[in-house]
Amino acid sequence: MNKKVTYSDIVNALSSKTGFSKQKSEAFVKALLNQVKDELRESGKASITNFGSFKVKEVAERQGKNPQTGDPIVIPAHKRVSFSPYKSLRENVNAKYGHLESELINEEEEGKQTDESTTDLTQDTQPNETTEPEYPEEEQADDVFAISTDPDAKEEASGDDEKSDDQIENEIEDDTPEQTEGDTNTGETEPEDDVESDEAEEDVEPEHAVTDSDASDGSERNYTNVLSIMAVLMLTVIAITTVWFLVDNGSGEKKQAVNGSQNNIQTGAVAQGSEVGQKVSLRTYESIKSEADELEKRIKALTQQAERLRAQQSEQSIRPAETEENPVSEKVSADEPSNQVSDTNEERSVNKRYEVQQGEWYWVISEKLYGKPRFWPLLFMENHSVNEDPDSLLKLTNISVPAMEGSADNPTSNDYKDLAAATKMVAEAYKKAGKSEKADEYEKFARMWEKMGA
Amino acid sequence: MTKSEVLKSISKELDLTIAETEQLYDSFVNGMNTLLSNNVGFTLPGVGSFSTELRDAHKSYNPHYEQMMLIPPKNVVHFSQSSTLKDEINRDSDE
Repeated sequence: MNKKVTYSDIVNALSSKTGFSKQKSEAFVKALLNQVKDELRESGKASITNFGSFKVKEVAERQGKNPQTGDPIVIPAHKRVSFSPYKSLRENVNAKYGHLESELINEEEEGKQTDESTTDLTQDTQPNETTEPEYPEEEQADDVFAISTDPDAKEEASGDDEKSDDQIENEIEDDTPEQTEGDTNTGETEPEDDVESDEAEEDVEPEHAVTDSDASDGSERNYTNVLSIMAVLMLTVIAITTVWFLVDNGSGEKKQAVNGSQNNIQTGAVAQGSEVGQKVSLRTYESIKSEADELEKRIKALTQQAERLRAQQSEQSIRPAETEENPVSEKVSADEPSNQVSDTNEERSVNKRYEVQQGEWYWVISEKLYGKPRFWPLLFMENHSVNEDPDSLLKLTNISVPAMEGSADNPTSNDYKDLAAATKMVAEAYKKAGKSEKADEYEKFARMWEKMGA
Repeated sequence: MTKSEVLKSISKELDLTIAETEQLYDSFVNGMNTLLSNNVGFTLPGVGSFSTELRDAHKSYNPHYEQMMLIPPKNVVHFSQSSTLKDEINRDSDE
């Protein structure tokens, strides 16, 4: 608890220190206090140099409560004396905690939270984009099972689906260059395929135990099953490639094309069973197998392309204002949404000029240009020397605006470093202008920015 | 009113030289400062009582950073006006 010293103790200490009698000391203290009181009464202000100043303050009428009974009381308007200690006294009293400074710990945590929330949003959208391209693969798997479980039924249905077969064959004719490539490759890889084909059969068999049980009688049936799987894969790939070409040509109708592609795949899936028999008769097993291998690779490549296309489409749907003429740049923006910000900053990197209107100050200009008034030291550093008082009104009518690496809402660590340097300069300028309190304040700010930049 | 004006009027009143009054003044103010610096409170009759109190660390909104900040603990001087001073001032305003 705080100790207390009586008035007489003070007077005694004063007399012993100065060598004056107690009467003289007390008379002095009384005279001094009377001076203060008289001054307070006359001007409403008084001060004891190096100790503190007193001020009379008006207190407005307010509603209060009787602390004992709880009855409401109207406390009338009155005056009261307030005391504010001088800086030296304030610092002496607070010497124990003087080294402490307010910290930004909470802010950083909150900042991280907001960052996380924004990243969450981007993460939310990304999984959707990644999951969508998986659909064709799933369909393929379904098709494989559908065909492998009852190949007979599919072969029976082949007669019904002749029209769709023709359609797909037309599509295949469109893609003939690719197929011929596959054929030429097969010729080179045939001997290897002979060895691998046996292994491939064994690999496939356990996956489709149902088909094995159905087709356990003859090894030829096994062949047909494997062939059917390969053919299905091939057809889906062809369907995707054609769709992709369509999408590439008619960028305006991408969505429709993709939807159409899904429909094509579905119809193709129905029709696949019918083609199995034809394919077997047309091509040897090895050539088809090698083609399928190649096409599997192509599936992967195409699914990746499909992913990109989806990303583009989502981008376009979000920002319909942007033209679709250069998909490459859109791809980049789809991969890195933050590039939007950096683009605007690149524009800023060439220092803009700003026409100062009458009565505007850094604080206001900074709010206009950066969105946040607290970045004004950047403006000061860019346009003024240390010898100018930051509070003096702008003499320049046209100032250059330094660039920021990040945005005002999300500054980079370099921005913080710049800001710290600028704030330090402002503090120095204040010091030279004789405003030590403001200088101290901005030195603190500079340290704070440095911390945030670290 | 500046310190020199105060010293002049007091020296007249108490029949002291200005140098002597200044010595008294300085040691009186220094004494009060050291008392408060050591967390010792005291009362000046007719004016009020002075004491120190500790303000705990707390969180507060800093408009400059537009963020919450942790304000460290602080020891401050607390002044409580005496009832006689209060009465005198309010009587003046009533008249």
